[in-house]
Amino acid sequence: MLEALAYPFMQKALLSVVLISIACGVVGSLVVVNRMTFLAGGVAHAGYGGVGLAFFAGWPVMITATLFAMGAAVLAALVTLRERERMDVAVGLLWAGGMAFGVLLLDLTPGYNVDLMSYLFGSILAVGSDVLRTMAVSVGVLVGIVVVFYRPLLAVSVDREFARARGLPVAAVHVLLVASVALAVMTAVPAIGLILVIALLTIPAYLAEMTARSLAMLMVTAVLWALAFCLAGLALAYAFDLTSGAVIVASAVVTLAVAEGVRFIVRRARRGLAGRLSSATGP
Amino acid sequence: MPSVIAFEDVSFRYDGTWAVEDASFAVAEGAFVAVLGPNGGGKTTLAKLITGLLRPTTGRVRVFGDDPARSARRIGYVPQAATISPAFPITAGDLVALGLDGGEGPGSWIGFGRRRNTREAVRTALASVEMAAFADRPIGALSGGQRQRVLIARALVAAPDILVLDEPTASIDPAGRSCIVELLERLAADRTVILISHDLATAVPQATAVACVNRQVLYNPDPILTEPMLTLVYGVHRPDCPMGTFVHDMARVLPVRGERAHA
Repeated sequence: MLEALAYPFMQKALLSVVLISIACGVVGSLVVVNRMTFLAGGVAHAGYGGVGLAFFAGWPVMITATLFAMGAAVLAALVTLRERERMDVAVGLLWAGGMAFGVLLLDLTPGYNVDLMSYLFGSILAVGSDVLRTMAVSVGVLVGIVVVFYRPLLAVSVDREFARARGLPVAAVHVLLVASVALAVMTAVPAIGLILVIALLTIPAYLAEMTARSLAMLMVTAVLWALAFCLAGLALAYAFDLTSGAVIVASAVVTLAVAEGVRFIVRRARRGLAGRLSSATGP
Repeated sequence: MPSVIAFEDVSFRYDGTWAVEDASFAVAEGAFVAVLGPNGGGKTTLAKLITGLLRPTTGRVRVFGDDPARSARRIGYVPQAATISPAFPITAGDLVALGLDGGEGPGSWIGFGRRRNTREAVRTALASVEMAAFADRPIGALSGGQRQRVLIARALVAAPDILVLDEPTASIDPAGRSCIVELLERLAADRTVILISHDLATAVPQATAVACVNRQVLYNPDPILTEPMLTLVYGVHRPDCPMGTFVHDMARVLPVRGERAHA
């Protein structure tokens, strides 16, 4: 197993999972506490419109797709700023419209022969140096945003109305949050794809939420969970010749199921113990 | 006494429906105003106009003679049924510290860490609501009443001159409610308080003024419910009476729902 680390493609894959874990752990925490998973899904699929546009126009794929997804997400955020309850409609449009736009543009691209599956499910072992550099820049930007704007992001995530009453620029912070989600999603796409990125944004943060006592702690714990899933998935994919993105997500889902099962058993045991204690001390 | 809040012919409309119409009144410094009215009558709209969360459709609101948004630092706000998820990973102390952010330009809210005196300010605010021992407790581990007191501490931490509370006892059991009432008595000593409540027992004991809201706003700088106020809010016709007397007689003077329907 360790001999695989000697291969350059494996070294790049390891570096990419570290970067993806940071992006998904940090931004996924904001997604989970703001209940924005559906929006993240919409953004991920809107990114496919950017992929189609890049091939059609002959532009760099990842940069075009990232800017396209960020633009679409920010537009949806601005349109629904005053009516957050209509966000579901905007996300539906992003989701279906982005995919349709991408497919149409790829249909119209002469001589198009790109493997679509690599954008939908990713290919972690095929991440190149140029993509790795783009990912590193994106993660640097995301970490910078969260460090500089941690307090307003926390304030808006906890209680938007109170934040607005304190004079914080809630609309600007919301747009920044949505743009960050789009950037994180598109950072992870080359490795695990548009579809599986949702799992890596939500499951590590959801597991971390069980123990974290602050948003910062939630982010750090979510990064560690994401890294654990990515490394486990990569090792299993290499050992059994499986699709790496799918194995990463499968390991996250299995862990979540086990954690929920343990939590259920502990709660039942505590309730049973409390019942026995009250009946023992009762009249 | 100078006025700290002034409404000048203020009306506010949500999507074609008027929530507040032609409200004109001034709140004196140090007043404890009980804002009464039926559900959907416009009480929360009034609170949001004072805090600058809403802007009047017509007329103007002045807080300390200025636009409410520019006075945000001087207003403490406890929103109705705060939508903070119990699962949110935040301690009571960190939640209170959020009340220090904002109001003084980007320098007051950008960054990761906090100013050196934050811990002391948070401790003092939590102590004022008798929650100092719970500073490190996750918000999800607190009872409804304790959580409400933490939210009041969050509104108090920046030492505001005006405190606006929107239904602070709405989701609290009777024991917790009496704690909040006692707390409000103490808080009213050195600031102007606007207490919105449909629960007269919470609002009455400390009130020095009363505002009745049912789309129209009737304001009395004394704690006396006038006949027009009683008609506006409760649909009953009886002479002016002190709020305390009205609460005492409430069971006799207010028609029960069925009687009113058949009247």
